[in-house]
Amino acid sequence: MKKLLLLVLMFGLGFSLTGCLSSRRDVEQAEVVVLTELPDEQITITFWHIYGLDKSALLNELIAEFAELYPNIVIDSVGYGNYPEVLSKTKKAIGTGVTPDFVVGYPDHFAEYLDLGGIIPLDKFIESEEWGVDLTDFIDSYVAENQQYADGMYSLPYSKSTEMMVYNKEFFDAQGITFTENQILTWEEMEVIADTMVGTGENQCEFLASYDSSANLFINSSRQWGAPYTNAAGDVLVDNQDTRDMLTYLKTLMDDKVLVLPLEWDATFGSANFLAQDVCMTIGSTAGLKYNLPTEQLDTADQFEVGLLPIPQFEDGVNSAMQQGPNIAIMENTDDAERLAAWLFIKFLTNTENSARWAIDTGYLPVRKSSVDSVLYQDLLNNPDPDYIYESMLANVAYSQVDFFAYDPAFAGVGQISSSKVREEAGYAVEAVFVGTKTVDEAIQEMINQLSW
Amino acid sequence: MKYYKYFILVLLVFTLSACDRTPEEVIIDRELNTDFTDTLAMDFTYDGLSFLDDGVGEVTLEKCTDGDTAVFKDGAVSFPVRFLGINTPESTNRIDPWGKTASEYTCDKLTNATTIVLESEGSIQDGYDRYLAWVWYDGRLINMELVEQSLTYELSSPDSKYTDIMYQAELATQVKERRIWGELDPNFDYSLEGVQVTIKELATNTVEYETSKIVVTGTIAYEVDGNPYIVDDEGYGIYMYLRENSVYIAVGNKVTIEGLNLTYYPDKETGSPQLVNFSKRNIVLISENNEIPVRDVDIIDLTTGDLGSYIQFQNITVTDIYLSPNTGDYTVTCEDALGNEVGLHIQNVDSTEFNLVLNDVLDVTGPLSRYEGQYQLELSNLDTVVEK
Repeated sequence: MKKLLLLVLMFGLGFSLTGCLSSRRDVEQAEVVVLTELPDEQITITFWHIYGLDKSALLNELIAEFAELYPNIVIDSVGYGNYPEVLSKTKKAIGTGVTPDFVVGYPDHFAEYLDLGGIIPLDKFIESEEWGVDLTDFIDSYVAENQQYADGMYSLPYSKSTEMMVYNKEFFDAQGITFTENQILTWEEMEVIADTMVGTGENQCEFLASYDSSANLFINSSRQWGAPYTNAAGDVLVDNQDTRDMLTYLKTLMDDKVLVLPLEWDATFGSANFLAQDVCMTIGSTAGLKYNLPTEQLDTADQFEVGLLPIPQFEDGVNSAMQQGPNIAIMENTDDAERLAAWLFIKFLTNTENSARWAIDTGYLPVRKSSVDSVLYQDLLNNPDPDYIYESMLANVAYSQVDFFAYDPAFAGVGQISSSKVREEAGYAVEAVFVGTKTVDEAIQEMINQLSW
Repeated sequence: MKYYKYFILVLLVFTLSACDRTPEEVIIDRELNTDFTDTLAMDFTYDGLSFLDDGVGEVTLEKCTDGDTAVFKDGAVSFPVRFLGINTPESTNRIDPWGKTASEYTCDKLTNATTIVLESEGSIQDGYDRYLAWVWYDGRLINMELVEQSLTYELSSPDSKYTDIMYQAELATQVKERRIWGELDPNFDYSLEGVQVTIKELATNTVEYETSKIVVTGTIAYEVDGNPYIVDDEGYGIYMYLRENSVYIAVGNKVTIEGLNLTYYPDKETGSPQLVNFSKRNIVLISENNEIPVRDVDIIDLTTGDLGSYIQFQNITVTDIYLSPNTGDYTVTCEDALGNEVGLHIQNVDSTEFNLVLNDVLDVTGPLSRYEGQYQLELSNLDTVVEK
């Protein structure tokens, strides 16, 4: 009897939880009313993000400055460990009806929230006479990324980044290999360089270059190679000869120790082995620069000089660099006052000065053209304070790639594969090829199998 | 089992009510409670088991650290433990709103507990040589209680056996908009820059500045492991824990630094004050190549107000030399002509370079710290040690 009662209760619990879910399929676009005045009473809004100790220090400063402008808005800033955690928590929260008021995330995530009826379009706030922003001041490709949803602009760009390559300048100098500022190397040139730099001798490494994100390696290499990946309709297009050729070439680079994944050392990122000089170059997010800086991570005696370069391209390919980094959205389960308060804070975070400050301090890139043109950011690019030398190099490298920033369409939905799932499987495919557990054909087939049902 | 049944009922009622998407119609009880913690009971036994050997076992509290970390003893072995599934606001190497409240709450519960049991789940250690555990005091899971007290977010691993109940506890607590979920911490200084204070005033009246943001101006006198001691014109000083580097942190540089907080390492009773929250955004270089003022203080006259000062002791005699097998650090005990003892804690010196022997008479200059209540000069080399 007890078991039966428990089963009934558990069933009821499960039903009540799923009964809360409201899918975009059966809900009209959320009605958004933009208040013309901010209410006087205290408005508490909760902000979910992933910024840990270092980045949250500046975020807390910005929150304190915002509180001086709007004393009746209290912001709970909640830093979770990583993006998957925020994604998982937010999806759970949408299901139970107790959500944050605004949240950072990738387009993939917002596509999933949108499918669950969890976020609101921001168009009315953007166009508001009282509270609006000038979208033409935002970097065009960032706006396009946030406008890719069918019925509105559901997010604003916030912490944008791209990928870059950090190299052990002391080793390269010692071998007589120098690079011009922001020189774009091809993988074919990297093969030649590896002949000198890879080895067991002095000023040599076991591998030439590590690549942090196996998913990015697959996706961006596909673009560079001209190999179809996905489209906005959610079709997975990797079953083609170009993708096979691209992966086959990457496997050749791996076999020749030109390219290595952090998996080689059971690591998630290549930083530790770059600092240990196991690998001479490392490719990763601009937002992760500090983890590759000997001056930040090593004792003085162990430090060495590093340089920064754009990511490698293919000799006969199309130049492409990942446009990545999270955007910011307002949740649907909020009242008008909370939505306005959240919007005002988003607007504050992304204004000309604060977007520049955030970029300088975190390694992300400004989201506004006026921020890039600001005295503050131009000083970083051209006349940096000695404390910001590497941040300056990073910003210059990042902007040398801005003309070929690219992103992939985000999609989600029942009966449709989510773009985040495709991305995950793309990473596994590269890793399987690298480790050698699958041939290129097998890896692609496994990817398709995992994405089919 | 009957408690579990009631718990399911509570959950059911709660989740059904949570479906209501018109919050203005719901009257929220903002009083904090520990309903979920009250309900949860251990589902394991620990008699005769050792946490370090078996992953579950009774321990004793050795020292509180902060809201989500403490040092325990399993038999004679002491070890730090990071509590699983939570991350309380910082209160040691950085001060966050509600960090001190969380720290005091945890310390109070653990200090007054009759029985403390640790339960591991997954990896028993993290990458920082800390152990990871669910911490039960007198049969109550403090990890969850901190969630219910709005002193931490819930961060349990998706495959943890406590994930669901921790998540439900957080949901029930979040709507109350208390503490971290919507209240300003009355004991936290939300100002950005802080109050300008002399280092002497700071060093000799630390208790006055424990909840303030601080601005100091001084000269970098010495560095240990990349972390500087900064001194004023009289030689009074304080240790500063850096989270990031600045080229302006170099010996002889006079700088002004804003937005700092005062804490103690490892604790107020036996350790030394330190400044935390350093950011290179907040440092301004005033001048370079300044002389470092040195204070002459007799060992017998040392007080806690001298901690951090750049001090010279003259004609002290080496009475003991200890090389730590774990850290490679030397601790050299010296005494003055009256038999008053002081230590020299020397890091990063290779054994082939270490040339001090018993009965050496020395003049030594360095910043003063305290370890387990004993005064010592912190040295990162032997450059300021003169054998006579």
